[in-house]
Amino acid sequence: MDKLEQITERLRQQKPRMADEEAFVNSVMALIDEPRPHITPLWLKVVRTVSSLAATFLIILYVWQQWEVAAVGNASQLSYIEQNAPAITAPEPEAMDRKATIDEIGKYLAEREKRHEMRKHSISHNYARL
Amino acid sequence: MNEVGQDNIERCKAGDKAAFRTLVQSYQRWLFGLSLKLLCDEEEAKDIVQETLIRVWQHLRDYDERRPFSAWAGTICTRLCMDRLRQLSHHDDMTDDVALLDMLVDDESPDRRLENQELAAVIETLVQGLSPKQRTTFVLSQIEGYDSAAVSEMTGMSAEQIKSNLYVARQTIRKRLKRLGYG
Repeated sequence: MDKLEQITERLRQQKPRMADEEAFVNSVMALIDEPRPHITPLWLKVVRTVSSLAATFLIILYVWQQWEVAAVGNASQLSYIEQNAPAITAPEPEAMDRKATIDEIGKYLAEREKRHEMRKHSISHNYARL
Repeated sequence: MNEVGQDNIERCKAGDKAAFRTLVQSYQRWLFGLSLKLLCDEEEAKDIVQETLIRVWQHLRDYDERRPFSAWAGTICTRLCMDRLRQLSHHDDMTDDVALLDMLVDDESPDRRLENQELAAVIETLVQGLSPKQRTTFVLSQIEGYDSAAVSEMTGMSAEQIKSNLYVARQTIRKRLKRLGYG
């Protein structure tokens, strides 16, 4: 028997044991008494992650779109106001309106006076002829 | 180690914790010896035995009653040890424990029981420098005394791999012993 055989033969006879076997058994039993952690399968983790990311993306997209719609709406309103501002915000002054009306009435009265005079003249002329 | 009865295994499968305690009490010493010889570290060995027993509890439904329970539990334990050996890197820093080797070789006291640390130191002196597979093959077949089929089942290696790993391991250890003056 060579040295290696001799050593391994001696080692084979050794039966090591723990110093505190009962405490070790209790520790193992305590570990199995603990509720087992719920192990989530990998595919489920992937699905959860992807759906969370998709949901976050959709929420961000929705908020961004709402913001953009609001911004465009404000801009078009402003543009409309700017385009229609003279008609809406700068009506003709009332004074000018009144003056034109007075002129119009003046012209009408003058015209009527003129016709009246012409008719009077015509009547008197006819009487004179009679 | 005393193999527990089939009825005990069945009760464990049904979730009987008292039956499982009996099983733990029956196998923990054997599993600790196996782990200590493979890892050469008492604390690491205890951790592996604990992990082994928890896995046994969790996967007891997968156990095939046609095989001996010790073979199934031993396989779990050995593979956990091999994984741990791959992770550990401190073994190359160990020093040769020549005094203990002297005691074993000179056969001063054949009945002397080595302390756990002594046993770990002697085996570490022999197997340091070996790969995890060579080391595991050497411990299982030379120190634990398992045949090639049992080692193959426990490690998942083929018979050829076991043969070559064992050959390299023995040659390396012989050279080491020669260098230490035991040629």
